[in-house]
Amino acid sequence: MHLKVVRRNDANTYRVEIVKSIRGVNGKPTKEVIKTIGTAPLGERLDKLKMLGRYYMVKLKEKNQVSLFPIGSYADKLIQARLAPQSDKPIPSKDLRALKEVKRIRIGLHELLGSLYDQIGIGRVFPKRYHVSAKLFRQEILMRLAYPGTSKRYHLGIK
Amino acid sequence: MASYKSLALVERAFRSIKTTSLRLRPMYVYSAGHVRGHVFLCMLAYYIEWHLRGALAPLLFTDEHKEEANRSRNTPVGKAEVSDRAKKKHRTKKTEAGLPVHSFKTLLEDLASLGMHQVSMSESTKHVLTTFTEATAIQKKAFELIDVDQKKSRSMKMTG
Repeated sequence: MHLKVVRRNDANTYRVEIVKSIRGVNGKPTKEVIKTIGTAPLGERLDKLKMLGRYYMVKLKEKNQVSLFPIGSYADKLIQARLAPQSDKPIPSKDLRALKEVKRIRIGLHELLGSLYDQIGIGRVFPKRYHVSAKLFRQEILMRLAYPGTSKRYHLGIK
Repeated sequence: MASYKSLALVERAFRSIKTTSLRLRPMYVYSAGHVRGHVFLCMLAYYIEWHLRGALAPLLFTDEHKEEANRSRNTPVGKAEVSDRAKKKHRTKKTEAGLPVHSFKTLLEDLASLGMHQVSMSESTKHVLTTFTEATAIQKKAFELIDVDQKKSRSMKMTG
């Protein structure tokens, strides 16, 4: 699915439509118009129509797959990214299927046990200048509770 | 007599440190100083566990109204009684608030499922979105009992 801008023959205007590539008669590739967004002359109005088209495109894709983010916010972000001048920032992918999980961290136990550790105040025995040791000590105790019977080396993935 | 009977608590603590919960062994350290340090860490870990068990007692099978049941006993030599509320908890497998009752181990497993996920919206991993697992009713209750503000701790994680 992509956006197509077609010049109309009868006037100096352009038509913006959402099209999809399909296999037509005899398996030949062809385009199917899914939605026509509107017609406008070259300039600001046409740009606005293109933005609207992108918004609809995300919305149509949303129908077929579950989204992690509210549709409005994602579409807004997409439009903002498109509007941004040539900058270093990468443009977010318009295809939600391209979303990748970068990292997954289990925090439930850490939140619970860590808060309790802080409430009890075991770490307070360390003077402030030994903050690195205090942090390490905290991690050691929490690790013993969360993963008993294992070594620190095991958690660091060292063999 | 009551003090003598409380020896069972000490024995239970050592059992927990050594086998059931914290698994003191195997030790991956060898020198005497390191072994002492390891045992000390395990004892501190048990101290936290003891606090945690006490705080999360309403969600566990633990009898949190022992004193109430003990009042009906004439002598400390007699058999220890279980409170009516604990019996009800065992029978229905639900807390007073209607939440499922857990053992300490399964409750920790349940809480461990809470996670922080970082999702990238583009090919570059420089720009990531951070999302958190929504806590279930029992997980929320556990945090309430420990008096943890999840929003605060999470915002700290997001800002690094």
